[in-house]
This record gives sequence, C-alpha cells and structure tokens, in this order.
Amino acid sequence: MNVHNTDAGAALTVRGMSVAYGDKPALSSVDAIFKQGRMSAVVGPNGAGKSTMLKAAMGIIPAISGEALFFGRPLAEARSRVAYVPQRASVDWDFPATVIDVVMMGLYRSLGPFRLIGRSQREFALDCLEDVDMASLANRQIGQLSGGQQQRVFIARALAQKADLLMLDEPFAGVDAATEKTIITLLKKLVAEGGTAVAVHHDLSTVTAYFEDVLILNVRRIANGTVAKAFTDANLAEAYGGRLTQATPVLQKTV
Amino acid sequence: MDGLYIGLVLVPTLIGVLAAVSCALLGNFLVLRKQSLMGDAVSHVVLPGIVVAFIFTGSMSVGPMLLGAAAAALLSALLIELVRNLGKVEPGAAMGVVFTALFALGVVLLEQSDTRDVHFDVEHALYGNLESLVWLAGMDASSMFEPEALADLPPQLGRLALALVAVIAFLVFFWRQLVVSTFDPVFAHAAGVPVRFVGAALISLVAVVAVTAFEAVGAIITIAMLICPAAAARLMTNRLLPQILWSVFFALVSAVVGFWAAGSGMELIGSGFSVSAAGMIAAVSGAILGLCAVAAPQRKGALGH
Repeated sequence: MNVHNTDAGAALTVRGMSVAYGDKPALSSVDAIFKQGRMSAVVGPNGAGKSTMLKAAMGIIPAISGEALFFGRPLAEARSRVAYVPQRASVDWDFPATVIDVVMMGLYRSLGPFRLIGRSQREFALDCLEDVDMASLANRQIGQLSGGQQQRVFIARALAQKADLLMLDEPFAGVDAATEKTIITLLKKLVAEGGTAVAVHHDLSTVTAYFEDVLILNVRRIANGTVAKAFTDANLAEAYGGRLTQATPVLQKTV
Repeated sequence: MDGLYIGLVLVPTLIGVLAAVSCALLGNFLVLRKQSLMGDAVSHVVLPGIVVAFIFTGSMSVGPMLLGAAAAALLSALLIELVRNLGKVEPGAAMGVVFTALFALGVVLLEQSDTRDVHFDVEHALYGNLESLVWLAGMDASSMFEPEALADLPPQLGRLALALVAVIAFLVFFWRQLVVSTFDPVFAHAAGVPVRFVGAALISLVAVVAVTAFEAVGAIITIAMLICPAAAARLMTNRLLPQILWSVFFALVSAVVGFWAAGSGMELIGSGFSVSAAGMIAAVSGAILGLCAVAAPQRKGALGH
C-alpha cells in the first residue's frame, strides 16, 4: 500500500531530547526519526514520556537539551506543515462553542489573527467534518458530544490545518469502536496520499495493524524503526519490564 | 430631563456603567479560563500599589498609580509562587493568602498616610465614591456642548471611558488568539498563537481597569463585575459572542438599577437615607447571577452534567 519511496526524508527528527519535571527526568537524551509518508506509533508504559516528547518537540513544554526538526527545519520555519492534536481531556468541553467553531480554529494559521471567516472557509470546515462523519452535528454545542465525537472534532480541526504531519496525543483513548475505525481509516488514507502521522498509542494489540513504524520509549529510547524490526518481545520486555503479559499473544496477529 | 438630573444622576450612573461594562467584558475570559480568582487577586493587590505610589508622588494621577499597581501585581505573583513552594499549598490557597495580606497592608498604609485633601481613604478604596462624582456645571442638556462646562466633568469619566476603549480594542484585535488560547491553550501554542502574551495582556488589562475603577467605584464593584455578569451570561447561552453581549447587558442593568436603588429606591421603601451605590450595584449583579442560576436556559450545560 505504501507507494512512496521508503527512504524519503524525515518528517520529524528528534535529537538528544531531554526533559525534566522538577528533578525527575521525563525524557533522557532521546533520538528518533519519523519518516515521511508513514504511520508511526510512540508506545511505552505510563510515565514513559510519550506525550512529553510530542509536546517538547512542538515547543509546548521546554526541553533541557536536544532539538526537533520538522522536514529538516526548525519548528518556526515549518509550523504551518504540522498539526498537533492534544489529548481530548485537556480542554473544557463546556466552552461556549459549536462543533464548527472548533473546526474553524484550525484555520488560525491560514487566516492569521484578523481575516474574517468567509463562506468558502466555512464550506471547507464542513468538508473536514464530513471526513470524520460529523457534518450533521456542525451546529451542535460541543458540551453535548460523546467522547468519540469530541475526538472526531479534534481530528477535523487538524484536517482544517492542511498539514503534512499530524502529531496525535492518544487519539484512540476512551473512544468508541466506530470512531477508532473512522479515525484509523482516515489517517491511513492521508498517509497513502503522502501525509505523515505520529501518534502516541497505548494499545499494544493494535500497533501491528495500525502502524508501519514505531518508537518504543521508556524515558530513554528503547527501539525505533519499522514495526517488523523494532516491535519485538525483547524490546517490549525492556520497556515494560515484567508487566507485559497479555499483549504477547496478539503480537502474532497479522495485518 | 432637567440639569440636576444630568449632573447628579446621569453622570455618576454613566461612570458606574463604564466601570461595570469594562469589567464584564474581561470577566468573560477570566471565567472561561477558570481564572476568576486571578481577577479577584489583581483587583485586591492594586490597592497597596496605588497607596505606595500616592505616598511617593503625593498625587492621584493615573500614570504613577498604574506603575504602582503593576509593581504590586508583580510582587504578588512572586509571593504567590513563594507561598506555593515554601508552604506546599495549592495555588488557590496561595493566592487567597497573598492578596488578602497585600490588601490589608494597603489598608494599613492608607490609614497611616496623609490623604485627607485628596478624598482617598479606606472607605473609598472599598466602595468608591460614585455618589460624589457629580457634574455641577452640567445645568442642562446644552452644557454638553460647552467646553467650559465639559472641563468640569469628573476626571474619572474620561479615564474609565479610555479604559473601556482599550478593553474593546484588545477584544477586537486579539479576538481569535484570545478565543483559541482560552479554549485549547496546548493547541494554540502548537499553532503559533502567542499564548503567554495574550494571557499576560488579559491580566494587565484587568489591572488597568481595576486601577481606573478604583477611586471611582472601589474594589467591591470591580470584583463583583469581573465575575457576576459573565457567570450569569454563561448560563443564558452556549455561544461565546451572545454570552459576551449578555454580560454587557447584565453589567448595564446592574449599574443602572443599582445606582437608582441605592438612592431613589431606598426612599421608595421608606428608608430615610440612601445606601452605597457601589455596594448596591454589586448586590444587584449578585441577584442577577442568582436568578440565572435558578431560571436560565443553559444552566445545566454550564454547571456540568
């Protein structure tokens, strides 16, 4: 299915990234490469620094050392090519806004602070909602959405950014099966069209089915490469210690 | 409409309205950002700043007072961090301790300093001096076009009008950044919105409004108006722009009804003396919030499920 050159450039390169919360290290000198045109997962136990790595790469939290390059450039020069999807639970869904209001926030970079939203932008936002099967709920208050619907709105907002790289923090956490299927189908389509997706993922049983590349993390990098090469029992045991028992059988599951 | 009415009722009411509307506009974002307490803190800590500025300069001009208030706000931010870290308490508790302590310090300083000839004392700091901000030169409607008469308008009117213009300009020019960073600061940061700058600008404007409102309407109105109209408005609608318009409406109603009730209203119910207009305006805004909490259409949405 991947028609693209396998040694295409990196969409995101992380080099020597270290982050600490207080005096507790959250990331220790992590190197990782996420290739263009690929679906990549970031996995690891709780507190392994998965979300932290994404946030530090995006400059949302400060890194002690290290750098992140997007398409070979610093973030400031590539920001419009990157869309970040935060954890659904990180916002207050009681905010007075409708579904389409939130999607149109994704137009911030293309509109800038002042240009008004016109008919064509509204149509485009509706198209993005259509891609996640949410167009019929465009005018609904966001407080009335289910968890899965909230996640779809976030994905639609990222689509509205027309980015080449999607950075997703736990996009499947607490969503229904239908939403998970919609999102993964959509991401696979974007990647087939040349886009790149990097997702923090916690469900080891779906890594092989969903992703092509993987970064296994536990504060430091355990392994980074194709799922076939890096997603091994030995690497998982190293990352999760002795806690990994039920995930082992599903590793044999084929794509 | 005779002259006394314009000078004695319309002008002070207008001053109350200007202060109330400025506070209500900013209050919408404080409430949505869960920073109501921050507005409370800022409007408290400007007092010691103003008093110290007055002690140093001996004047009540806006420039030094704003500088003093800014210094006090900075000091309070440092103290809050210090109390949080050394005292190992949650941020709300640290804020509560610091801003009441600084406000009390301001009250003590104010009592010690000689402010008799500028009409600035503890009472004014608390509930302002709205009733005395009259326009004696405004004898009839035509004096609104006489430069001499206009020069006699209370200076607070102009200052508060300027503050309101600044607030509206901020909301218009920073609307998109403000909305995106209020709803989802993490996303906003990633999309390149200057999240910290917008947050700092919002709090700075709260301080500017608190300083300009201080000697006119006092701390009580500022605190009530930052929270009550916006919180009540949130219960009326599920859209942001209508919420802001509702909050302005509630601020207007509070100021006009409150000012009237404090004077003429008290006479109507047979009370021989009038009460503090600022106190009454704050009380009316509280009553509106209470009413909305019981009867407003969206009260379930805002109070959680």
